[in-house]
Amino acid sequence: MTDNNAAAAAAANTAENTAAQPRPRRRVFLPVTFLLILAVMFAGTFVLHFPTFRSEIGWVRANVAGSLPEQAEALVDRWTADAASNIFLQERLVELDGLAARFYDKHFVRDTEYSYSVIKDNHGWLQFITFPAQLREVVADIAAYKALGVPILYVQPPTKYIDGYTEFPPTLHDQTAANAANTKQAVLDAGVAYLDLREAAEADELDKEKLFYRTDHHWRVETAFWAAQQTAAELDELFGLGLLADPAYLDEANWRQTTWRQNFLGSQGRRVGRFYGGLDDFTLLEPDFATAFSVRLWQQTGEVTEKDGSFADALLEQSMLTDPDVYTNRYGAYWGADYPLATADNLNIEDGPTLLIIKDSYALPFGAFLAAAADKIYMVDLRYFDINNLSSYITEIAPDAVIIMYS
Amino acid sequence: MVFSSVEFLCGFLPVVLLLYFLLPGRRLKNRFLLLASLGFYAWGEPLYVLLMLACIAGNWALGLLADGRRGALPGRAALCLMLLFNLSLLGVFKYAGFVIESLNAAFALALPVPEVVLPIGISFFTFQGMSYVIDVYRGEAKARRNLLDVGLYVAFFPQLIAGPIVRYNTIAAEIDGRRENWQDLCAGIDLFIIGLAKKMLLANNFAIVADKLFNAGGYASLSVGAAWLGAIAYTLQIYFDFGGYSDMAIGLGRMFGFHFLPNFNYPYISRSVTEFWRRWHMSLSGWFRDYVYIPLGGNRRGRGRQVLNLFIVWLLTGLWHGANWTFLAWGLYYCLFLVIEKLTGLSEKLPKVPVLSNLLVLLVVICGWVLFRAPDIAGAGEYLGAMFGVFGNPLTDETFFYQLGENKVQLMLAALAATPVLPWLAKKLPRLQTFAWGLPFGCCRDLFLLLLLLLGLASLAKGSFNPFIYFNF
Repeated sequence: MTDNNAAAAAAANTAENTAAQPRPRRRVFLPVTFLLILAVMFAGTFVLHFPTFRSEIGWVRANVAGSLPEQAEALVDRWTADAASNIFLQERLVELDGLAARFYDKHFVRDTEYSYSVIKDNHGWLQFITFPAQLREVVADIAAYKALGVPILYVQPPTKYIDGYTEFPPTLHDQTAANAANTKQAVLDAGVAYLDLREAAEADELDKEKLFYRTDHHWRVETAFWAAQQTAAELDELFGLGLLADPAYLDEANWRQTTWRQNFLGSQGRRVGRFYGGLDDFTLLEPDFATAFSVRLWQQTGEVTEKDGSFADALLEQSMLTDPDVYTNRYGAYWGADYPLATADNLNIEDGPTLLIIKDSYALPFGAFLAAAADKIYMVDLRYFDINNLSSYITEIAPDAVIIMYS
Repeated sequence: MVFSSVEFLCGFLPVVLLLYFLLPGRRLKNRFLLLASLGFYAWGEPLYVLLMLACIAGNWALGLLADGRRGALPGRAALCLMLLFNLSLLGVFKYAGFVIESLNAAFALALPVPEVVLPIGISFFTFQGMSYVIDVYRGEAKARRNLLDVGLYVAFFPQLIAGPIVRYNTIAAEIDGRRENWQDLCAGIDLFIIGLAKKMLLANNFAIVADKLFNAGGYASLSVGAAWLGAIAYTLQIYFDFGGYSDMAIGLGRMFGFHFLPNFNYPYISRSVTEFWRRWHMSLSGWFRDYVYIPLGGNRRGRGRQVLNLFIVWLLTGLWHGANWTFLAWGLYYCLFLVIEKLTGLSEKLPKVPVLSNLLVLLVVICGWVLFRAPDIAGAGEYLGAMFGVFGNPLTDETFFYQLGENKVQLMLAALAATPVLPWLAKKLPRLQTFAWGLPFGCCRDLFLLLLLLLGLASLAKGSFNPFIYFNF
């Protein structure tokens, strides 16, 4: 074979081999998906929320004095914050991140707001870390409120971080017990009655596993009911209020339980998604006896909402129960939200005890249950109610007892 | 604006990509890229964008003066002016405070310390400006008559604020002559996703560990294990942070048709310190080699001069990283090892003992990173002491076991990602090689990359701890 023939044969051979091998495909899937994802994220984050971004320009002009670069910097900061809080499909993406954290076997999921970082304790419960806290103003001034002459009971609810039961990573030092101890000392020093439901829960041998939601920082509704029973008994013993004059009102046998399985993602769970810590069951407790209430809810705007009817109509926010989205705050079903001021007049009880509850969100179910046994309940939330008006308000409504309860 | 931010990923990038590929003609595309890049920089530095524009204009003018005048007086003058101009910018905005503070400390003076905010990326764009003028002076590229072209080279957003330091002669032809194509777009997307994953899934995680251990202070009370874990975490953090950012930058450049040189080449598999610096931040080491070390004579003027040249280069390298004695010490630390290797021939001998040499180099590198990360020299000394049990600190403690347990999966993933295992597997496994033409390998690769992208976005949405390290240079 000559060189030319050999070369031609070799070329033909190469051509045959090349033809026999499939040509590399033009990549379509990943690049197109990447570009589509960018486009969808752009549309969902910026286009859908365009009015928000546009309104920031007006806000900066109205509120930021200074040079143009300073205003530009302020605008950029606000746009950046808006973008971060409006990222499209944020909940789904956080859930994916939570799934990854579970794959990595993380027990600490850091949040941009460090105080909302989520810890998975030794029981698989989700927790926030509690930092050292100053005494609340209402506790620091409790002697002054006592001097108004109205009986006061400070109620310490059970805490989700249970000393000797809960374990955190060694580098994290929870201050729940320390803060509660400081509060207790201040209350006792002022000569105010103190009910420690942590000790009561131990004494009653309540199942620690069932005191709190796994994914929320609140106690379970069932625990709040037990707490209402304990508090009513204590108030009767200390001040003779007669809340349990008819024990049927706070007898669990007369309350109907409805449980929804795996349908509640609590406050801690919402920071990390459902795949990291799971979902909670949610149990609603409603009276199985006839009820009639007149409820007034003061909004932060000053507007007052009136709700009259049965316990279910007046004291429950049904939308928080019927919405199938697990991100719905089921716990807020009692009263609907935290209001600066909320009142419930039990129309089935005349001349019964009136209670003022100075509260945080722990009192939502708790206050609703006490409302079934009391004549009137006033609930004041000092996060929204001006504490400077508290003394005059206490004097004005003259309750039979004041309950102060903070988690 | 950083690449791993909502405003970039979901806002800037899709808009720029769309408009860029819709615009007709090279000139319009280039002007648009320049405008977008200036907007990118102005987003974080609304005032200092003017400084960058001044840097561009100054270097452009000096490039014109230096063009075709190598060796001639105007050319040399342009070079000197260029050095004076760019180094003055760095001196004022980066080093003035440090110098004054050091003088005050050394001579018990009370000179007022200027409070100058460091412009983001100043070390990168001044070095690129210098590269432009030097390459033009040397005749390795022609000066650009159009200021906007130089503007694009210096300010192009992918490499503007954290590199890689793109040498002008490597992309001069691509400013006008590039051709965007689907293959480059795909390669760019791949690299961008890998970089994003390195940053969001690995670097950010190790940052939490490193910060926890380095920010606590009181290093003498750390256990040996915890101290090592912190040092290793920072070693991984800085690699995946900077390497990830470089991947994203190179990937972005590729999407627009630019082919930047790689900046990292698995530096932690190095078998000598010399090799490490051929694999780590290659654009910086290459810049100093070609623009400082070789012009000073390199190794061609005898051993003594070589050592001096190395000393100068590493002094400058340390200084480039930051205005702090720790960075200077870090630069000289590497100078010491490089001199030892060159004078003893270890740089050739060590690679013959693979595992041992790799471990030795890692030891040198990790200790170097402690110097780099510590707040000051004394802190670095204390931390290193803790690592070697100098204070009688225990071998392990709760913190060590907790951090190890908490990060075990990511440590394993990091070990995989810091070595060329996956690319090696892809080459060596015949089945994968065969299927490379068909569906399965490509499908697996694309699904894997898609997963990385989604996890990166998920981490972004969670709003994890996110600042880039090399921003401060």
